[in-house]
Amino acid sequence: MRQIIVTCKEMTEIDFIPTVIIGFYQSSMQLSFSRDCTVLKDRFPDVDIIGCSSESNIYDSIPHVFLKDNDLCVFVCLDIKKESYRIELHTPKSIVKKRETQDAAYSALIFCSHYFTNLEEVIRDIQQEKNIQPIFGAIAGVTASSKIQKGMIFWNGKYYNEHMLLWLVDQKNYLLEGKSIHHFQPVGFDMEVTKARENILYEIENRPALEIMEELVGHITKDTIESFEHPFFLRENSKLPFSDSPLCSIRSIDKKKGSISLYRSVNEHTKLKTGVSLGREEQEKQLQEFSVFKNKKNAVAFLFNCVGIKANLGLMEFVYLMDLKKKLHLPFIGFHSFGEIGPVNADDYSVLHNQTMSIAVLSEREDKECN
Amino acid sequence: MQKILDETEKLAYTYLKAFGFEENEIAPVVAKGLVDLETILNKLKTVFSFPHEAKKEEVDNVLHALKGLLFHLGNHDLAEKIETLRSYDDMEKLYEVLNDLLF
Amino acid sequence: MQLNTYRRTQVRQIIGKGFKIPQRVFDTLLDEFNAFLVEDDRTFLYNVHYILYQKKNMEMTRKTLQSIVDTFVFLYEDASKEEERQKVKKQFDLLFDMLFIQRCFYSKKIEERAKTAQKILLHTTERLSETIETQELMIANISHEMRTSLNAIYGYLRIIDENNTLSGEEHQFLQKANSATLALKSLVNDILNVTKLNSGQLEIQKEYFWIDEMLMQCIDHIALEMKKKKKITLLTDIPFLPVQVYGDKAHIMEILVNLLSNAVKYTDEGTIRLEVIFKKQGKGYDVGFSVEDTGIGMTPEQIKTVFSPYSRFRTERQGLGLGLHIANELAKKLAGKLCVESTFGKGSRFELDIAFNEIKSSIVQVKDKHFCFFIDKLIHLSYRSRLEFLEKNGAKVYVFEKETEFINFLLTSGKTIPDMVFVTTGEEGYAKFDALIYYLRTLPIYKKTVFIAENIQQHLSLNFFDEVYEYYAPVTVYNKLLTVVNDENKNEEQNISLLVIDDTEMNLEIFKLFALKRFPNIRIDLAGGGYEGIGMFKIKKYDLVFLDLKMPGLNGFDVLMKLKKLDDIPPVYAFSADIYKSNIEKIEEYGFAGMIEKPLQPEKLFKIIEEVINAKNT
Repeated sequence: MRQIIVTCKEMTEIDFIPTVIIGFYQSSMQLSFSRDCTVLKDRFPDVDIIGCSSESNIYDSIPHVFLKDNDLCVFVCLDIKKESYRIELHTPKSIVKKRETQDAAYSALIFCSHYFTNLEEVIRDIQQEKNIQPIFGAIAGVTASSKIQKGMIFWNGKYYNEHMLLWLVDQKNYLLEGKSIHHFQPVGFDMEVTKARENILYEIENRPALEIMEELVGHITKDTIESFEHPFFLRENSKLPFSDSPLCSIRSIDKKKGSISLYRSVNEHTKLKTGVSLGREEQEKQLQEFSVFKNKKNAVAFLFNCVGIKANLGLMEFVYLMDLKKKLHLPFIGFHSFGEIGPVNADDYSVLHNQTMSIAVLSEREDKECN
Repeated sequence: MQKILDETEKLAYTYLKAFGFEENEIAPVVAKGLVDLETILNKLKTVFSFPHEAKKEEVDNVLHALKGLLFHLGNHDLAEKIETLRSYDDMEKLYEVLNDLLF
Repeated sequence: MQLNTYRRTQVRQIIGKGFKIPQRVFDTLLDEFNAFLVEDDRTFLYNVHYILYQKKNMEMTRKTLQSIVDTFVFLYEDASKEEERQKVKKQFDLLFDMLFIQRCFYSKKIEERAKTAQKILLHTTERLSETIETQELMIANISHEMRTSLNAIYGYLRIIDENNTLSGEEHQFLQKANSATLALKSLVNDILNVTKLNSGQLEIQKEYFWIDEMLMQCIDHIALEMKKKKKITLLTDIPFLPVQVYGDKAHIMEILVNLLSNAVKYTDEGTIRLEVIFKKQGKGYDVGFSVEDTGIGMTPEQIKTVFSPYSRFRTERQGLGLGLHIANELAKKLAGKLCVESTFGKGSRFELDIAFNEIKSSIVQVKDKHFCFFIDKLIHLSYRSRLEFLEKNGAKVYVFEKETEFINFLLTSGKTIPDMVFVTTGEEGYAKFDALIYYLRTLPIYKKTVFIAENIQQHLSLNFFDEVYEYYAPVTVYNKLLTVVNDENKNEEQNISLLVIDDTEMNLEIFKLFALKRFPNIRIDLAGGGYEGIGMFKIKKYDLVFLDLKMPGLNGFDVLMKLKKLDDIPPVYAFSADIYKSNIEKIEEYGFAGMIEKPLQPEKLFKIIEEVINAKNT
């Protein structure tokens, strides 16, 4: 599988005919992205171009993270056999209907334009009933300064803002693997969600959720929320330890109602714990886990970093990305998202979580079947 | 109240005889015990003169003494019930339950 | 601003003062720096930032700052145009911002995170303390309530049994109810012990005790279980240690009874051997107890988890599987060690090693005493060691293995009437000897002789033996019995004075009732309150005081403080229903000699009084 990662300024460096191009663009740069895609389509008429808006992009060259509004669009060009992949576009409603049973086994990258209420269920069902594993992905991002309010998915010339795009890659010839990591550990007593609806947490332990949290971590201000300092571990499966349960970020608070709204849904009777940041050494240890992919041939990595990671680390994020580059030793591309999809442990099902660095490595199998 | 006194008297004799005491040894002790029991039950009535004004600590002290006495007189069932009731915070409700149980 | 050759050399010199960098690397660095100055290429910034972060070296960071400042000062001064100077200033600001200002902001964030973590820790600690307090209360309440209820159930079952009103099948049901109650009591104790162990509630209560007496009590505990397993023989080898050791007797017994019970449980036929080895260590003794059986044994995998909670092999055997876990935890708490060796199908051996650093020498008064033994079986090792001990300490020992010789000796002993006669024989033999002893007791010369049946292991009524032991009598008992028999002033021994202070008259009456039943010659004074008690104390001299803690006016603690101001107070025991650890600690802190629980436990009361009597008489 040939591959190359380019910014919009480097498109002339593409020296082969790709079959798939995946691009990420900062949400305020939709126009530029459209122009770039047109150029690419003109050059490669048979290519499938899929894309996703972001809060900001991630690229495997310095500075790795684009911080200003004049972010560059980034593209990964892949030369994958046409018969080895499929692209599907769904709405939240249509995805729940039974899809055709496929005779091949697939892995998938998933891009969602926004969070919708049964997304966690959909992610689970895809893996269990549709037998698509593993899956990785993210929820499209939007910059704070953008006039566009919703994230967008792009496919071959059209934008979609109420959709979910699945890029399915067959497992016979290609391998998709990776995991989600985060820099938090659960602390304190288990607490139970006693009242919640969709993504709003009303009560914890029969007391207003905001009151409980402020007792624990202190006054929650706009700054605290925007810096993503206090995510929760949500444990619905009592067999999983908290450290393996998905993280979830605070989106906003309602002081009058004492409620907290989150970036994903939460059910009553879910157990939760607050998270505190790991120390630097533990953070570095986690990145070490990606050394297993070092020097993998014909591979590329997709990196979905939560906007929360960017807020937590600030300028230090690029240091981690530089470190990751040394450990991964693969080209990578990605963006800052509003929710990531990936497994906490490599053998587990993928879930939706926040404040993770989810890495999916796509490589060509060495023992693939010949045509 | 008399029902409780009678019941406790019977139990006291059975209980103490099991330790090998003779009836003539037990009789004066049980008699004194019943006098104490009556006193404590009356004290409980006094403390609950105005149930909504009854103070938890005062009530608890009386129930503690009552429980101990009932145990020594062999009325363990009632003693245990009294002990359970000590955890009540609602004095008015407690009064109703005690009234049904003891008087 | 471009880095020309001159500037490159100067910059190299500036940086070279702080760092030793290879030429090639330096060139790359300068190229990147040049690109930063001229083209605003930030590769240089990011690389330096990354290196500084990775190195985690304060000294290196300081030198880097120094080099940067010096370099920019040089470039600023060397700039020929104002435009260039502005550019230098701008790039310096950028560099400084990235390398240091941003890091300061990040450090501030980390500081705030640490504060939050601390806050969470504090909150968790507070909640944990509350939880432990609640758990303490719960343990106390459950302990009290469950044990009270179980005791009541057991008590009433015993009453029914003793009334002999049931027979046949109904009697069997009653026996089963009894067994089930005892089993439940044991389970409840196990669960409560584990809870106490896990929450650090278990108190070590040390006392001076005889090891052989303790072991006999352990064996007594399993006597009933042994009777049900007729194919097992218990062998003991307990050399006599003529000193009292200072340790937590109750918990050591708990461990040993557990090991012995398990040996009985998991052995269908064969032997169970209880051995003890003493080793003098400094001023004390290291004691090794071992229980070895010929039972089902364990596989290596089972051995690994044998001390884990809820590990139990062969589920048809009774129990929760907590016993060995508790035993192991207890052993650790007692600063001892519990080990196991086992072979599957052949048996197991458990060893408990404990060091007793404090001992008390006690004299076992057997000099010039005569001891007569009848043993119609082979002498076991333990018997040999006790006979040796008796002879070594000046006793005269007569041992008979033939009935006729034994009976002949007793009937024709003349001047050498034995002080103690021990009989160890088969079932029918006891009944025969019981009749003999009945006759001997009619003879005035045998008035002061103590007759003991040992190793009885049968459920017989022996009316004329003074003491009946399921196994062998501990040697320490010889002393006690002889002292009781031989002392002419027997009544005076019990002539101690007790003061009981309680605001509930019934409690006082119950106290008196039980105390006088066992010790008819002791003097008991009853005080209905703290002040009355203090008044009595000032007038009379008391050997022992029992003091209710919860009294109106002066409570028990207040009374003790006032008593302590008077001269020479005797042991004062707290009398309380509150068995919380905090209360026990408070009782110890105030200087009470101990505590007796409410409702009154007669056996414990008797033990305390006995100790005071013994102390007074020695």
